[in-house]
Amino acid sequence: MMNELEQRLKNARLAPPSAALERRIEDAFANARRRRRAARQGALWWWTAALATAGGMAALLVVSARRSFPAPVAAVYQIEAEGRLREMLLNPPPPEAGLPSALRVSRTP
Amino acid sequence: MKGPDLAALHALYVENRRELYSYAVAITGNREAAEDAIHGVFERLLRGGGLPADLRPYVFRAIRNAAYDAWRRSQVRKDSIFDLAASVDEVAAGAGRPAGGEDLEPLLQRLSPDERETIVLRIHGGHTFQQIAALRGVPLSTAASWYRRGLERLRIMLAEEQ
Repeated sequence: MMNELEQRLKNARLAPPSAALERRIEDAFANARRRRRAARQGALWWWTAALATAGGMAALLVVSARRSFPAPVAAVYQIEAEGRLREMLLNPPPPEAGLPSALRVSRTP
Repeated sequence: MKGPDLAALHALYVENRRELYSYAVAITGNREAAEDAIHGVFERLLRGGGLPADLRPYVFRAIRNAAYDAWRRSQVRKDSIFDLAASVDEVAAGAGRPAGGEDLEPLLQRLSPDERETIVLRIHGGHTFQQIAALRGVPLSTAASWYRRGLERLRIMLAEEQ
């Protein structure tokens, strides 16, 4: 009897939702899809704007750095020394060569 | 930006619309209120964030809450969960005994809300007792007892009518 009752309940056709509800639900889904597309586009624009701003800032930094450090001017030195000193100034010995050895000459009277 | 899975939610509605609708009507007893409750729930779900993986019980619970809110507002019970118009058409067309909704409906209305809701969830919603217990927040034995008691009362009422 119980199983028969369950079967009868199961077989009873359920009332379908009205066409108006179906339309309202479909509209709700269509609006959600539209909102999602708009949000994605918004995010894309936001990223583009952020990248453009970052690029602009970087360019601005490079330009301002160039302006605050003027190009170096060549310095010209005239060597007036002669002999060994001139030779050393024009062709300095490599660092490993060390300093030129000093020769002390002492004379007793 | 993480929104709900629209395709999954739409598929759930399409596959369960009759069950969701009859569940909401069983609670509200009013088709307009049931439709408003379902529409309101889906609007909120579509505007909300991510949804749980096990979507079906979650949606049924949301429909239940909305339907009870609607019922508290209206307190008028008159509509059937069954497609009575189709049953009447079948009888008129000589199909013999109709699918069964028209004689069961007034009896279902005489059950307690818990019994009626559990029977609708179990038989028409296809929920297990475990799922009903989780949905209602009661022990499994309580859900099973509502169901058995409801069916027993229906059986007695049917026997008295015959």
